[in-house]
Amino acid sequence: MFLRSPFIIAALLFLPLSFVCQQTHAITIKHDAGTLTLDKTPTRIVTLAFSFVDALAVTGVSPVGIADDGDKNRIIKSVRDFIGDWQSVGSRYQPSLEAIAALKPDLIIADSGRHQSIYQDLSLIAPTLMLQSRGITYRENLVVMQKISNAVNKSAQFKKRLKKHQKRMLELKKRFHNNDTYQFAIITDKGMWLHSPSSYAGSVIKELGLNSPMTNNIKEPYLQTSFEQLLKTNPDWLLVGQYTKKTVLDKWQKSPLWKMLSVAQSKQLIHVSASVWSLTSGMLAAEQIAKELASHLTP
Amino acid sequence: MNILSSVRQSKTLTPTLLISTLMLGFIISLYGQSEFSLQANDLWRILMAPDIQDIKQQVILLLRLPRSLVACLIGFNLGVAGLLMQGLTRNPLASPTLFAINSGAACLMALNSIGFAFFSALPSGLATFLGALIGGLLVFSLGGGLRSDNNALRLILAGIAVNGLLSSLTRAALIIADDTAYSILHWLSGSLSEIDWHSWSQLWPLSLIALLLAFSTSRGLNLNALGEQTANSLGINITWLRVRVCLAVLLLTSISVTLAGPIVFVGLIAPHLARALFNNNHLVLLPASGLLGAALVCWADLLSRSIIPPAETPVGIITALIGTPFFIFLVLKGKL
Repeated sequence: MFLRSPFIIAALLFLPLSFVCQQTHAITIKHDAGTLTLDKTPTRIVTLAFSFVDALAVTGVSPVGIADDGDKNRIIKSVRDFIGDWQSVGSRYQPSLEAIAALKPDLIIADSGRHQSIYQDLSLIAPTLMLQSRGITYRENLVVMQKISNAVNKSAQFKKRLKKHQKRMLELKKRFHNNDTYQFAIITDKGMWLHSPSSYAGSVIKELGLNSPMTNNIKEPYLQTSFEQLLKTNPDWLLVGQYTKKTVLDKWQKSPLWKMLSVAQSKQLIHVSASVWSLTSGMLAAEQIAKELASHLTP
Repeated sequence: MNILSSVRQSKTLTPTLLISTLMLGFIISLYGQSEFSLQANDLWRILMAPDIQDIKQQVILLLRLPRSLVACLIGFNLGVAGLLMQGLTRNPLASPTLFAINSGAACLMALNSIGFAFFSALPSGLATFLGALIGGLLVFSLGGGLRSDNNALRLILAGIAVNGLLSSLTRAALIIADDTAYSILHWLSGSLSEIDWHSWSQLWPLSLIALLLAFSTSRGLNLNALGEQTANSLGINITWLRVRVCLAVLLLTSISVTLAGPIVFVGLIAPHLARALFNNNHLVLLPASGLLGAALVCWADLLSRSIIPPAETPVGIITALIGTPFFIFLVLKGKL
C-alpha cells in the first residue's frame, strides 16, 4: 500500500497537468448537429460528400475513405491530384456503415442534407461532423471549408491557401469585365435545371463579377425550366453540363423558337463539365470553373 | 350535395357547365402564368395579325397550344380509362394505377436512365411505353387473364403485387443513379413542361383508336354493372368485354404516361364526379368522365405553373393535392 502510494500521488499530481495538455490540443467545432470536440488531430478521415474532399485537398490532407459512388473518377481531377489513394465507402446516397467502420476512422465528415438519418450510427463509429454540401453558395462553402481545416488542425495552411485563391479569383475577375449575362444549367433527357445565383456555380459566376440573367432575388438554388422559361431568361451566354447523352436541348434546338435566343444568335452556347460545375464545390472546383470561363471569354 | 342533385335535374345545364369550364381552362392556359406577360388579346392577334417574328405569338403557337391540347387529351384519356376500370371491376377504388401501368412505365424509364443492361439502348420514350405495356399485361395475365372463372378481386390483388415489385425496382434504380435522381423524380411526379407538337402527333392517333374501342364497350359495361352472371345471361361475352376494356385502358394510360409521366388521381376522381353529375349510363358517363378529366388536368397544369413561378411544379402533384381531399370527402359522405 505504502509502496504504491507515491505512484498514486504522482499520478494524481500529473492528472490535471495532462488534462491541461490535452485541452490545449482540443478543438471544438460548431456544426449542423451541435458541437464536436476533438481531443487530438484526426489522421484517418472519411468524407461522405465530394465538396469535403476539396476542403481536405487544399490543406494537403488525404482522406482514407470517400463515398465516391464506387467510381474514383467522380472526384474531379484537380482534387484527385492533391490526395493519395482512398477506399470507397459506397454511394453518397447510402454509404456503407460497415465499410466506414472497417477503415477505423477518427473523423467522419458527413453531409447534413443527406446523412441526418444515419448521424447517430456514424457517431458510434467515430466523431462525426455534419456540414452542408449541396445547395450552398460560394461564400457559405468557404465557411464550411474553414471548419473542416480547423477540425484537421490545418487552419494556418488553409488561410494561406485562401489568400492565394482569393488573389487568383480577383485576377480573373479583372479580366471578365463586361455587361453580358451568364447562366449555368444542367440538362438531361428529362429537362433543364437553371442554377440560380443561390447555387454554387451561380454564386461563383456572381463572385467573378459576371451578371446573372435572373432579375429577381431567387432563393431556390436549382430551377426546373421549360423552354418558354428559358426564352424569357434569355441569357447572353448559356453554359450547360449534361448528365445524359440525349438531352432536351437537342429537341429545343430544332424548334423555330431557338433562333430567338441570344445564345443561338451569338453562338454562345458552351458545353462544360457537369462534374466540375455541379457535382462538387470548393476552392479547387471554383478555380477550375473560373479557368474554364476564362478560356471561353478571353481571347 | 343539394346543388349537385339540382344540377343533375337539368339535362342541358350540366354538360354546358362542364364544357365551358373546360373551354375556359383551355383558353386561360394558352396565355396564363407567363413570364412574357401574355394576354388574351395576344390570342386574338394570332388570328387577326399573325407574325412569325413576334416571340409572344410564337410561344403561344409552338409551346402553349400543344401543351394545352395534350393536357386536355391526356386528361380525357385518364378519365375514360378510370371509368372503364371501375365499370369492369365494379369497384369504386379501381383506377388505371391498379394496372401497374404507371409503375411499369416508371420502372423501365428509370432503368433506361441509369443505363441498365439493354434498356439503355432503347430511346427513352419507347422504353417508357414498353414498361407501361409490360406492367399492364403482367397484371392482366396474373389477374386471371382470359379465364372465364375470373373475378375482379384477383385482378386487384395482382395489381397490388405487381405495383409493389415494380416500384421497389424503381427505387433501387434511383439509389444507383444519384445525380440524375432528381430529374427522374421530377418525371415521376408527372409533368407537362416538355410537351411540343411532336408529342401531340404521337398522342392523338393512338388515343383515337383507344377511345373508339372504349366507347364500343359502353353497352357491355352497362350490363356488367348488373353483375357478371346477369350480363352473361343477357348475351354479353364477359371475356371478350374484358379483353376490349383492358386493351383500351392499357393504350389510353400507356400513351399518357409515356408523354407526361404518371398523373395520379385523375382516373379516380373523374369517374366519381361523372357519376355524381350524370346518370349511370356508360354511354353518357364515358364522355362525361373524359371531359371532367380533361378539365381537371388542364386547370391543374395552369395551377402548377403559378405555385412557385418561374419554376414549374409537376402537374401530378397538383392533381394529387386536389385528389386527396376529394377522396376523403367521398369517404365521409359514404359514397365509397
